Amino acid sequence: MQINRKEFLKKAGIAGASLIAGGVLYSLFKGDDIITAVVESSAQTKWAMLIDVKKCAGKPDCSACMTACHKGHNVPAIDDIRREIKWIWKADFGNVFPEHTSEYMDVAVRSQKVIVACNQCDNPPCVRVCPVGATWKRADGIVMMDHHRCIGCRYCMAACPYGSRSFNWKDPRKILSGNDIRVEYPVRTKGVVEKCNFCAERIDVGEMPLCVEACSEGAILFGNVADPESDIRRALAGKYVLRRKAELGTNPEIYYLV
Amino acid sequence: MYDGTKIIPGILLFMIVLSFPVWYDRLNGSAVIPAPEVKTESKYCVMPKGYMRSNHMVLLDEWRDSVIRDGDRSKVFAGIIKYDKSLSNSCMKCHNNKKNFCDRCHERLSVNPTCWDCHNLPEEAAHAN
Amino acid sequence: MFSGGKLSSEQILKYIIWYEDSMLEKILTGKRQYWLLLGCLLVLMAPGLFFYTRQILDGLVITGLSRDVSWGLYISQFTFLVGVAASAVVVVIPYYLHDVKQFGRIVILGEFLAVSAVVMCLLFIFADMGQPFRIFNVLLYPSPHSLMFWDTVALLGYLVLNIIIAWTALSAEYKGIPVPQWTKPLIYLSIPWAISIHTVTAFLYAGLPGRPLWLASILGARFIASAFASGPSLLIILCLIVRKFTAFDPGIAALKSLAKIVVYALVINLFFIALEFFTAYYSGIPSHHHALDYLFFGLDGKSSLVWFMRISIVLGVAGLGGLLLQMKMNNTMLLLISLVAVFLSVWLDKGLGLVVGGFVPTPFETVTEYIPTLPESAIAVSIFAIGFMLLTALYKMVISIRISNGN
Repeated sequence: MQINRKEFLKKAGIAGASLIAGGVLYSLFKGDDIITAVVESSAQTKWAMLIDVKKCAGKPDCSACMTACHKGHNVPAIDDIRREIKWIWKADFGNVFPEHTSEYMDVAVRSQKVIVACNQCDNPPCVRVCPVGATWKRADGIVMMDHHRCIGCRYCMAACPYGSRSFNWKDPRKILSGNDIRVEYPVRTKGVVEKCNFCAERIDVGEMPLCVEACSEGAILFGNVADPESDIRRALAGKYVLRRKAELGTNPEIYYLV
Repeated sequence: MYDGTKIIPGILLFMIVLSFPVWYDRLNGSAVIPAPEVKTESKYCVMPKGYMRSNHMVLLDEWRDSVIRDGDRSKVFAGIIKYDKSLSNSCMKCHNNKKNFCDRCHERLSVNPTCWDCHNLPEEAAHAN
Repeated sequence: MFSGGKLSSEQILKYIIWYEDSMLEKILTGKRQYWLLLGCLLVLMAPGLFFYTRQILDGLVITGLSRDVSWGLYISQFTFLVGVAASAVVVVIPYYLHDVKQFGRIVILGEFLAVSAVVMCLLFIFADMGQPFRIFNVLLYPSPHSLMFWDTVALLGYLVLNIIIAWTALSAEYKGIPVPQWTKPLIYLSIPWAISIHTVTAFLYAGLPGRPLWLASILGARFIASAFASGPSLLIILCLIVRKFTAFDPGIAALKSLAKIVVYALVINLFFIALEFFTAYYSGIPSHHHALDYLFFGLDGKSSLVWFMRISIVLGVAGLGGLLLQMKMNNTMLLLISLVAVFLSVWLDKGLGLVVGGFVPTPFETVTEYIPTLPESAIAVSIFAIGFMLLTALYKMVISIRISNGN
């Protein structure tokens, strides 16, 4: 069958236009905010943290980052280590990096404190296992929690290789005293899992995470590793950094400068 | 009808008992839901009153999905003022008396939303309660 | 049973309904022993229900679970019972695929045991959830990347399959007609489905990079082997009880054949455990043997599970010996004791060691121990009681029908 160029272009044009129109109509009716889709242009952003272990260890009794985070997010303070909820905390170097210690390492070095939090992995096992999609990875790399959907099955807690997640064994509101509650950020309910979220609510409005701002030593560097000009990219390129359990393939986005 | 003198009054009595929720309130004058007290600074809400009355819970669900799941923290207009999509930080800043605004309808209709298990009441409301 | 002449469809329907009703009615009549058993189970069930309301109100804080050991008694019992449910296939395959007529009287008992086990599994999952009233989220927001979603689908499907198959077979038996042909494809489907429910459960554990005890390819195989050792053991024990206390005899020859299958499964299970020990200790890799250290020898001075795990091995070997011996000696009491030993052995290994052991040591190489609390244990007992009550009712129905049919 013969078709001339004019016909072909006409038909192709109509087909293309209706495809685009259909797509626009579809997404309009779907209710998605088209503006959001443009803003979330993914490959440009991947949030990561670089923790300078020496700077942090210089102030062994400091807990500024933990206090800022926990106060800012209404995380209840629970003494019982079986039930505690912690988003960011300090652990001994020998416990955080057991594969990098030796029997000849000084106790002082082995028990140097290292900041740990959710690594916001690139390949997060916790996201893979969630049966209801209550946790997922955003385009900008942050592993989010939806506490409305969480059924409290704690599969994500079993899946996390880093022990980053905490569960609300009882109603946190009963533990937080009225004065401690920061009204702007919700408390959680009993029976849901929570963890550090890289202060997504602050990043989304252009602010820095609470821990980064609270650290007086500048031990926490936060930035966009997808941007080759960012401070954190330059630091990672030039220095020897560790990540926790890198061999597991989770690709954590918290780097440690030792 | 066999035993009709017992059955028909029995059926009538049953109907009266069954319809108790319908007629009791009307007799007592408490069938009308007391209007929620709207003592807001601003005249404008993010959506019109009629929509809000029947769909505020849908709106809150959409806000939640938009903010948490889509990461869209863009603000919404109420009149000319922009507000965050937040129950605690926007809705309850104007409608800050939970007892006289939210609870009035919820209690009357025996609705128990669990929003405030997590979402905090702003200072003023917390102290008023 | 038809007195000649055509019945109208209305009459046929009434006939069918009368049959189905009168099948269920068998559950409502019984001797003193039957009601005594149900009464005892009700008593066992009661405290757990009270404690569960406490759990709903206060949260999972009433359990012994912790941030480090976040799964415990409930999930471990679920894991064990999925194995028991899957093991119905051990009677279904010989009977339906290889025409081993001997198993004819036991098959339906195996299927109803599977039904009861799956119901208990679902109850344990529900009991373990932090927000149980959001359970429909699993179906509202299906997540095919999550094994827990597939486990839910598999369990629900298996429950429905077994209920349909067993009920139809029993109903046909009651009416004295042959089993309808449309159940045949369902029966064939239930065989790979049974294997898959337990494999999916193994996959829940075996795909997690952060838990070295579970991150083993052999875990799926171990699950099936231990299921085929423990499930049929329970079935034989139940059949021996039925044989002793009711007028229905499942046939001692069939039970002994089933015991032979248990022997093979048990040998394979013990062999697999030995394989785990070899890889862990010969390789010397710390992450591979730390969990076994904790379970069998103690770690960091913490050793609350050690004697349970050692007894599990002893019971397994002793049970094997007993089973082999009873074949020679033809002693039913020895058979019963050996089966109880095998069942307990697998229960300790899977129901206690596997789940808790996976969390030890923690990702920080520390040891947090787990001991179930009284309320938690009561809730678990309560769920077992509910399952056993369901099993009693279903078995009563089968036995009454078979006795009235003159089997």
